[in-house]
Amino acid sequence: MSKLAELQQDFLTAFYENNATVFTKHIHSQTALTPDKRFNIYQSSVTECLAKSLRETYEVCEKLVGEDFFNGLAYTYIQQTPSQSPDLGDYGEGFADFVGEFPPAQQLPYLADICRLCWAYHLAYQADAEAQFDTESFAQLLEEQQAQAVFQLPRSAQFIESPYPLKKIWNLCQPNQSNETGNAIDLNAGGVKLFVWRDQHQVKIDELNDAEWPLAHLLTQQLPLEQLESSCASRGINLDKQLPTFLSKGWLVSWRIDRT
Amino acid sequence: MSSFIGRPIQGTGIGLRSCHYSHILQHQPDVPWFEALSDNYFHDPVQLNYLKAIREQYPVTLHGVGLSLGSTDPLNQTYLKDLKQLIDIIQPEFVSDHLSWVSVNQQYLHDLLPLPFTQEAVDHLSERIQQVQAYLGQRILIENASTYLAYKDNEMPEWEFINAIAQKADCYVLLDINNIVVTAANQPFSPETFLENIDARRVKQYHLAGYSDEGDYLFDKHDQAIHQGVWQLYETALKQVGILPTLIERDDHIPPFTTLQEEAKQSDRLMQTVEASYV
Repeated sequence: MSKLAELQQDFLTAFYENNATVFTKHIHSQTALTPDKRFNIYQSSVTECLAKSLRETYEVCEKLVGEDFFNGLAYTYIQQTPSQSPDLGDYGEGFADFVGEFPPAQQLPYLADICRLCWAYHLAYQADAEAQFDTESFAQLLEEQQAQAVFQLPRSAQFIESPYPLKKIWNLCQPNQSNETGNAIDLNAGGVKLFVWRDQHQVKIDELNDAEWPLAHLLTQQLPLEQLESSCASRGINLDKQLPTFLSKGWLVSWRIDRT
Repeated sequence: MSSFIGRPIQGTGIGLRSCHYSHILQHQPDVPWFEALSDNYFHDPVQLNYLKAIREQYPVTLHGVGLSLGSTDPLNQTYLKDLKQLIDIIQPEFVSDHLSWVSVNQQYLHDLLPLPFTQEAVDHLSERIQQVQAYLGQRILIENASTYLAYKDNEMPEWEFINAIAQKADCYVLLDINNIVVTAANQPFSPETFLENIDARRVKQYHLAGYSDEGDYLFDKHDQAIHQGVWQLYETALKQVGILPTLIERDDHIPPFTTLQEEAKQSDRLMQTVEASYV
């Protein structure tokens, strides 16, 4: 191992094993600022950078638990979870699972699902832009071509299912929003099936009903329309009724025909 | 979008930040150029749309933090590809990153970590910069980072380290005046000595920013106005190194755009004063 590689490895060890001396042995100090303190400047800087990224992605979680509790979550997660990407936006993918197992968070059973919703929102925001569904071109296809058409959900599409009223909790944490009823949210009021996607520059969180949810999942299988129709029929989904809804809400952005 | 290509940027530009997009597009302020943080646009189509719109009206330089030029990991090919794609879209006047390392063992620390000033590091960085330049098809600028420590293994001062890399890799240098002030205070060394010894022929751009005084050290926070000591060293740089495109950088506690414009005007006035003294 080169000296440069050894030095960089020692920084990593000092940071993640909380053992500064592994790295401070490399530091020369000409002033009253000790090697320990010099390492701590970098240790804090790295930690704060990752914590800031988590704070931005999981803003709703922080609003629910407060700054101090969130810092406890974030700092513990950071110590256990190195960033694997140069893109800070990729950091925090496993945060919801971590929160679900973090002992001090057990009294907030919905918190992990809120974090899943935060991550879904974050991914949807970063997805590529979409064109709008061209209904005119689709109508001009021959019937046999339409049968081979595969409808596309937005590339930003994310699905979140939870036994908790996530959307009400989410809305309560948005700027200038208040609890619509003025009452506490009943966590036992029933779960939600959420479809998170980006419409132009705005991320939307739509609540799907029991008919829309299975169809949205079927659409992720990229089935040609004739196969989609038979799959829907076998599941009791009324495709003729649902497709116009999906189109009007912007949940379908395009279609394609795969050549065989 | 190609109208600015080949027309060298001049004067004092401003670091492009998302909170100013609307102001810039609505008011089209009199700013000679903007510098965008490359990494923010790789996977954010919304921000990229704003950058494209601004690029239609202004020259743009790209400044990154993720190349990890000093890392002993292989260069991240995905990052390089993203950067090349952004360059193809934006067609920047300059592309720059830092003399530092941000990753090792494929673990990213997202901070500009200090390098030892050794011949081994010179050789290592030069080879990687050459690889980057070959891939991008253009020379890049390397920026001196703020540091809070010096290594026992250092074999040369920072300016000699930068000169050696710039010459061996055949790249350019972006001198961050604030970073010189911060590092000089933390090591310590004389910031004027840095400027006297840097190879002026390689320097193509300056950065100006504000630091935070933490009592027993200075911290490169980019969260406040440019300090008097930075302005003074900048004036020295203009006289000794040359009158070059200069950027006003602010990354936190970002003030209204007009405040940054005032700092840019102050920089332009200094350039004019120094230029007039040559006549």
